[in-house]
Amino acid sequence: MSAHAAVLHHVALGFAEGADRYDRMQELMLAVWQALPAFRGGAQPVTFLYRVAHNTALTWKRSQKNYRRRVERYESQPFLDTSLPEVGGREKETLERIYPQIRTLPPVDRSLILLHLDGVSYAETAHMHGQSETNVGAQLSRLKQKLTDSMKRISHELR
Amino acid sequence: MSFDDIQKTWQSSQNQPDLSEMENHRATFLAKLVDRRRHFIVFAVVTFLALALPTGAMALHLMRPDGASTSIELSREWERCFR
Repeated sequence: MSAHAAVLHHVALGFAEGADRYDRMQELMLAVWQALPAFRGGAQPVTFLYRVAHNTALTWKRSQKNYRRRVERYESQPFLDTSLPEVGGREKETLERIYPQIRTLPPVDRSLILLHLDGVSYAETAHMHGQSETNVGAQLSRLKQKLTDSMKRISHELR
Repeated sequence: MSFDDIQKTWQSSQNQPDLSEMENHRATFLAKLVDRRRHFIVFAVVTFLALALPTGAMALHLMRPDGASTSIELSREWERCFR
């Protein structure tokens, strides 16, 4: 599990912030632990990990939807976010703006963009989400554009 | 900022989990697993006793010399318990 900790880290931060992300991380680790006996080696371990982590995050998201709606409105404020540890650097600043933007997306879109940013292929993403590759490609190009636009807007507002 | 820039930042070392934080997660997770195991054992023992004790009591009743000759009457057994 430790070798693929970044996968869980990205999913936890993509779906939760602040103190919540600690609990989400624990839930993800537990879900992976419980799912391990079902792993037959048919897929790559990292693909299996992505599938379990994203399914867990989406299930959690669905069950918390009503309660979280108000919280998400708060989360969508990019400059109020304190989810990342205080470390200097331009990349860190950019990441602190990327994560809140990702969290404003609907859960499935969130999962798609997280998988894409982690470099998961369209075919694997399509398989995980039960969609066609063409559909995933179309959704991702829309999401990439949306994310780029919002990042540009934020950079512009900061100047 | 293009999407390539976003992806480059995403894949940078800054977006990797902090080692001490992961260690902390690991420790909490292991503690949780131990807790779950302990809870399961307690549950299993309580369930086993709840099933085994009445079964054993009934078996003893049947094995007594006069056990099989007298039929089990619940009200009598109940009274005997509290006598």
